[in-house]
Amino acid sequence: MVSRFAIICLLAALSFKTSAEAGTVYTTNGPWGDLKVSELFVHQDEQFFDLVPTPSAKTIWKFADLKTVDQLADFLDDALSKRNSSDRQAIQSLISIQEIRGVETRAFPTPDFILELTDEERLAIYSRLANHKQNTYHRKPVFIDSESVEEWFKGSKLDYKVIKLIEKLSYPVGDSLAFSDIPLVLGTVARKSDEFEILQALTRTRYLLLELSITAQSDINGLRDYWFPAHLKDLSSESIFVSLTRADTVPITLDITDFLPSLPRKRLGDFPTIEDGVSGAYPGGFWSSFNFFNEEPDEEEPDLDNLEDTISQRYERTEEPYRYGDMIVLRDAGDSKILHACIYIADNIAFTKNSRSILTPWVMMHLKFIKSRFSLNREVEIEGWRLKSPE
Amino acid sequence: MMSNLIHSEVGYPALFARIAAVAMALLGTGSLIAQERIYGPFGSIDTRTIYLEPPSRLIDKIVDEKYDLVRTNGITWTFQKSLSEIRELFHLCGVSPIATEVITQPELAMFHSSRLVSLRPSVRFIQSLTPTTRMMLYQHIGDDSLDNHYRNPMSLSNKGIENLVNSPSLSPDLKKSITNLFYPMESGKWWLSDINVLYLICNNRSEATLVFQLLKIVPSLHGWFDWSTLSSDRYEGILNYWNAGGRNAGAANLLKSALESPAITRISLNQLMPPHCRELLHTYPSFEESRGSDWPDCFSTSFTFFEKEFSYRAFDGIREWADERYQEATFPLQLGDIIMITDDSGEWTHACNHVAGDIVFTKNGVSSTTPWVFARVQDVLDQYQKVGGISVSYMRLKPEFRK
Repeated sequence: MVSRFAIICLLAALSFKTSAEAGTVYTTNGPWGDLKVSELFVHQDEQFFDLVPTPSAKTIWKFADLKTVDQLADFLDDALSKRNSSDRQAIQSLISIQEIRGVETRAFPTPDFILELTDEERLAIYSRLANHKQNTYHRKPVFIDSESVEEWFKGSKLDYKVIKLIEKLSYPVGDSLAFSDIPLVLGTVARKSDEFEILQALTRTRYLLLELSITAQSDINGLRDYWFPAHLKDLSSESIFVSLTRADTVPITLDITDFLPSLPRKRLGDFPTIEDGVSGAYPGGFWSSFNFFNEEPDEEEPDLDNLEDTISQRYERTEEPYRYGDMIVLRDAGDSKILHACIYIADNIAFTKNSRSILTPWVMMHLKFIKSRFSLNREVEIEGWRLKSPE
Repeated sequence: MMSNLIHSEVGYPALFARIAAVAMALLGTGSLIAQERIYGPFGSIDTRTIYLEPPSRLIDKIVDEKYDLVRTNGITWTFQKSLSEIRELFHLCGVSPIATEVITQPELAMFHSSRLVSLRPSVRFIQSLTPTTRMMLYQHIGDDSLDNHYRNPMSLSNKGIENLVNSPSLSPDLKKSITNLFYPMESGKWWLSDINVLYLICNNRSEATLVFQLLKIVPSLHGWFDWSTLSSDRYEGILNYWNAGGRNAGAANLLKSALESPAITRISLNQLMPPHCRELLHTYPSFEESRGSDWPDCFSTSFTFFEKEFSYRAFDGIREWADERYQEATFPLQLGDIIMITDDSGEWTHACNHVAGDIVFTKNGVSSTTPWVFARVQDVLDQYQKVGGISVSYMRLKPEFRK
């Protein structure tokens, strides 16, 4: 006898998309039902930028693993090795270097040097910079989940020239583009208000609105099995779903936040506030994932040193097709270190908080773009974990 | 003569134009869905009525707690009156002299003090009361606590009554016994105070559970903000409305992005609410949210509309909290303004938050089985009508607290 879940799996494999025009709105059908996915953008509120110091407009690169000026010069030579000698000499005149004896070396590239770099050179240098915690913008670049920078910033307050500058300076990471040269871009504007606009635009994050269309022909029991699986008993939001999908209520279109658990309902689309950090740390991906189904979330961030134990105690491994509520864990393929966790929703879309930063919102995001954020300098593996049934 | 006993001082300014009282939208499958559209400074909102069923775990818990207790102890009515005053009250409320004589026998009464007396009415006596008698008499039973169902009866939804009457699992006699306990108010809504009687007339625990499951169905509004017919020169005003002076910036930010997207013309009303409100809408209080016997109520909800969570500390002295932080609201109302209902003695009986037009965000009752919902303000006012009348005031956070 074919189980209901086997059918769900089959349907998952057969899910299809239609009219994915410009990535703005598309529909997808699968065990999750008829889902309309619309793309919006959110950004951190203006008021917030009064509270944080504006970054310097001068670019400083720090190389912790290159201890002498000679080592740094050799590295830059290598990175620029595809240029002919006169080109290389010309560009090297645009950068000065410094040795902090026994600690690190530093480079002070001019804007012209940075702008002259090819994608390949940029990636080589920036990947090295990302290894050092103090190079914040390289270690945690701004991600642009689009092939077109212009398209990404459409609707923002950014000046067209600034958009083109960001486009020039962006480099590919995974399925996204990354941008690290915030100081350079800030140096191109004179007014404080323009700086605010740049900083605000750089917190721009795609937010997926998910709407479930339910008609008299919908398989309500199948939908209930998907959104309220048996291993997640006593979900208080199930009664909302039941109420909203009764025969005398359909047809109805539900925003899925209508029936998600309280944490994602409350947090989706929002950035952390100052109060969120009162306990000592801002909430990140692990906290958001572990508490996804908790009516009263734990106040403290999970112990990051014991993630393997925490996960294996509460979850069990599961393979694709993933289903609603599965925790997706991203690992470094090299050393198996756990990098991130998010919650699978439907059609390769997950609920995620991609870092603890106050500049990172809780959103619904395509898994491939979540993966991009952790793919700088490494291969990333994805694995699924399913919450164990309550005893 | 119910209408003579109830007067209302309520008035609710018409801030918005309602287009076509009810538009019947013919949707894909041929079903007729009643949908209403309201316009105002907030934009344009489509709503339809939905009915929420309480989670079975909540009903199970309540029945588990009460079923044996009530069946063992029976019903007790406590009056803050002397026995002779109680007899006079019964007479005024239309209870027959013989029945009054029987139920007020001194040997059956419990005298806590000369002016605090408890009676033990039989189920048969309670069932014999007329709706008018219930309406008049029950206002005098118990104290003013919000969970006293005699003074703050349970409002029954038409849907709940319909489901009860049509339930194939209940006998016609039981249905009749239950519906005999209902009584109407001026608004035409039905009420139930004799909740404990249900435990006594149901034949078993599972029957009682089913009855509560059916009667506890409550209406709410499912809403969508729709700008397909709005001119873009109104967007700035609309964004200002939902931004609420920066207190709802996240939602305004989302709405701005939606308004700029050519492919999107509507967004769920839920998405435009502040985070805590989004979290609560259509849910029931969780046990984690309770503090001993205290559960989140209308006041804790309305005074924390823009906060991230309930501020329980504030409710140690809600009046002081309100006096310090709130001022009288001027019209037009703004998102989150508090609509406060006060009875004729000056007691606050209910509070809810203005959302848009005549839509409010409300938790009608302190019970763990009443959810947070969107409702029309008139429906909320009808629910809190009282003998002696009610009055309504409007409160807004003072500017210095709007951060």
